Amino acid sequence: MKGDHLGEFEELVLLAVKRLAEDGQDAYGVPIKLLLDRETRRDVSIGAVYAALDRLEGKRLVSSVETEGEPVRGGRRRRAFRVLAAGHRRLVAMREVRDRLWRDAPARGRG
Amino acid sequence: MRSPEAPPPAWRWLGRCVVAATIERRRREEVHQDLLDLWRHRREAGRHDLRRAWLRDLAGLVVSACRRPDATYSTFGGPSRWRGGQGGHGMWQDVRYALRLMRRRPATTIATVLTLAVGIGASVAIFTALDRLLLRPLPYPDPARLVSVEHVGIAFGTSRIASRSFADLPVVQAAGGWASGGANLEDGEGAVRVAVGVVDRGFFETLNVPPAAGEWPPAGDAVTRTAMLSHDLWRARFGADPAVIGRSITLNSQVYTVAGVMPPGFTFPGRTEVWIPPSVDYQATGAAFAPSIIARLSPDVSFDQAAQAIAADSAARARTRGQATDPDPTTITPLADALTGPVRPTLLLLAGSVALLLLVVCASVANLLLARVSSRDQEYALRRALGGTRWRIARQVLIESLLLSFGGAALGAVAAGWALDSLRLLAPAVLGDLGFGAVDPRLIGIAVLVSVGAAVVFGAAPGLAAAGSRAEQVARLGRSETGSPVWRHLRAGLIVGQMAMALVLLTASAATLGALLERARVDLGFGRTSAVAMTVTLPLARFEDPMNTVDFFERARDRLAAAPGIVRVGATGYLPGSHETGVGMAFSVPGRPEQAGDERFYASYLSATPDYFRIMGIPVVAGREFRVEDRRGAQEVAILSETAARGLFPGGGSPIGHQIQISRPGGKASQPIEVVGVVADVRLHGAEPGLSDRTLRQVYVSLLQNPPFGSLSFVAETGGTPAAAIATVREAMREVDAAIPVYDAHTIASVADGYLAPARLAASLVSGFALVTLIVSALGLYGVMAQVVARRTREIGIRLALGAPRATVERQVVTRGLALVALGLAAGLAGAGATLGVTSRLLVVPGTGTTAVLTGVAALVLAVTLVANWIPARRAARIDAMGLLRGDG
Repeated sequence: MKGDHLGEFEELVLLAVKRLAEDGQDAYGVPIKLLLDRETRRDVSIGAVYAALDRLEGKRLVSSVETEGEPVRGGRRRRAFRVLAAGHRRLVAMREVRDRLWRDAPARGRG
Repeated sequence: MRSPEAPPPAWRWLGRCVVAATIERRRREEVHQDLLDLWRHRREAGRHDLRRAWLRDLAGLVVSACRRPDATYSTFGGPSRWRGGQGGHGMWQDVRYALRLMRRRPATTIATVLTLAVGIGASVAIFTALDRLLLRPLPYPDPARLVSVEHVGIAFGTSRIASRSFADLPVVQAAGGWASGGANLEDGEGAVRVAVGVVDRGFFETLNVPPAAGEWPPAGDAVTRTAMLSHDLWRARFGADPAVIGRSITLNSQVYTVAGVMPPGFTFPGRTEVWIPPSVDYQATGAAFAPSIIARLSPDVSFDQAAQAIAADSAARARTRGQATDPDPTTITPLADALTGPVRPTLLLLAGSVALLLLVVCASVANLLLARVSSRDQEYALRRALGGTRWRIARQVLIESLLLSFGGAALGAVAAGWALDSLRLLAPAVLGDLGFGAVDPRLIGIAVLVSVGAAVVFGAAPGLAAAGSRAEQVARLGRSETGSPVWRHLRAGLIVGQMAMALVLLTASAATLGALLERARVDLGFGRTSAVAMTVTLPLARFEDPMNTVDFFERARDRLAAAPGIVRVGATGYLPGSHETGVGMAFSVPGRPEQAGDERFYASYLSATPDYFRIMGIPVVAGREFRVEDRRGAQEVAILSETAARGLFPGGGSPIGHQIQISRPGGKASQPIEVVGVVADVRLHGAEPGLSDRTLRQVYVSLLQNPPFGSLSFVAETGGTPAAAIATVREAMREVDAAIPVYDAHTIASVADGYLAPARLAASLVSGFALVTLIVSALGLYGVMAQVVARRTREIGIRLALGAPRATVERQVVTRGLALVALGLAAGLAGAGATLGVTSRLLVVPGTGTTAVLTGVAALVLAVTLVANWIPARRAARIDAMGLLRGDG
């Protein structure tokens, strides 16, 4: 979480934003939290999601736009996030690191 | 059982609080909506731990805010408030947080601040008045030795009393006399009216205030026209020229030599601008001169010793006159008491009322603060659960209380300045500017201390209690009841006290209203007309021949009658409400045996022109008004007041056509005067009920025959507004004679208002206090009962669901509230009985109808509190039992 480093929770939030956007949904606090709840089987704190979004925005990995309220129940003004190019690059880079590490892991695990 | 679609109000409120404390303003609504969305989502997912999840969400917000002080979602720059961190910056956060909470609950905030402002404003104003008028010593050297002397003749000017002089007594260091009046200060271009004090050398020696320039006027009996100037007049009219000493000034067309200038602030009596010696101007104080006597006691005697010595001297002088005892013994009173005597009862009553009001305000603020604190149980529990220290939470509560106190004090200070202005009319005129000034900042300080003290006691103490132990607080998380029993009992106790005080204040208010009504019922004898009045003094030096005065009146009358908007014009030598000294004469009926001494028939000697009674609205009971023909050379005529007519012609026969005469010392009587009319008794000096007949004996002579030599007051009936008429009359009078300044312009209606003003002020202030107290205690009762109902909502709901009749539930709540009311009434009635005794003594109101007043007041309190009680009771009876039980989740 320090400096430009991307923490584990931040990475999850960034991925959630990317996934929601790809599904054509608005990525904001509640859907992100619910998605992470489902996927991690944890009760993610909504406060933590907000904080992570703030930090990601500070690192210029995501950007936010105010969306107008929709004419449906619960429709209202809110901040929707999308992943910036730098965010994509960072996610790809993180995955490559993981993939590399995973490739090596079985051998070490057996040894 | 279905969970509620949205969190219950208290939970939503808690959420709003947490969001407000942790999220920047423009995001708050969004976040709050997110929280509600989550609640709905979980509910649709069939979760049963909605409340716990809600609290977890809130806790998450707090934790996140704590972790990232620089995050945009965090508004308070750091987590210290929640964790109980150290450092001074936390104080500022507390202040901001408190302000935010105050904004969030505008109703309680406004109620608290306004209540404090009323209490602080009223008490500061009244205690300022009390301090200035009754407590503060007179601003003269060694003021404790100054006394007012009644029933004494002393050497005064040239008129020396035959017996040994009072001033020569060993217990008296100096004695002097004063009377206030006015004169025309003339210069080359015209004249202005100045306030004059007619005083002797002993007056200056007694008060012992050295002049700022020059000397006191010379001692001795020689009639010298010397004048002392006030500092203000010296600066305004003479450009603060030190060379004014020894110069000449002209007062009432007579030349005086300026002997000295008094220091700034010295204007006794009243707002005197020039002091002149007695016996040099007989017009300065009106038609007669009746000085008040003051003395400075010797430094080595006590007040009691001096009083005894003076009484002994008085008795000794009576014996030399051949009397066994002195029928009118000389007495002394501390000067400050004598000057403020008339307003003392009113001020004491107001001070007592305002003290009660302040108590009620403290109790009510304590109540409001307690309600605030006790409704925030959940928040404190949360903060404690998250590691906040007790002190930190108490400090938060304390800061909130202090902010409210300061808000109230600031508003109260403004209100005090305004209220003091209205109290100004209580200050006796003789005190001048001594009586009042700006609001005393020290008193505001005291009021702030009192209210802050209340805030500390009632803010911090519950705050500490609220903070409680951590384990206990954690256990409290998720419990829905608000308010612990201790606070409820405390609040109930406060309300019982408030109700008792409301009852006492209402009783006092009934008494003051009674006194006001009694005065308002007094027949003043003249009408509440829109006629205007103004006065001139025609200097004897120029108007030596009395007929010059008649001539002046007729010229002025003709000029005025031609002015637009003036219907008719009259004049008198002495108007009702005048501050001048009037003249009394002994009257008798020719042919009847003359009485001697005090047995003679003394009556006020007044003069009037044709139309005077008509313009003044004084009813002519019998006979006629004066006519233009009643002038010098014709038969002298008089009009009697009803009391004078009864006194001079007992037996009920009509006095019209009979003759009276003025008895003069030495057995000589005036020419016979024919009685041509009888008019209503006129209240010349006020509306105090139960005046002796003596002040209502009034004999009017025709002004055209016997013009007054003091002042001449014009009255004019107008067609337009009084203000326009006053301007017209002023202008017309200037054209008649520019050297005669017009003063004391007012409407006749304002005289009547002035008579009632002190009683009206006392009645409206005390009634206002009583009303505020009643409202505050009713609101307090309502608050407590609403809390009781809220706390028992679930229980009541279950009972209703089980078939309890709604009326029974309602009755039970009302009964519970009535128990409080009964306690309050019982405590209050005891105090109210005592109050009636005190007020009837202070206000000189007959103590009739005590039971009626107490019953009425108690009934009023009961009625108001019943309403305050009934609203929560009704709410209890209307609880939606099924919805409530469903919501139990």
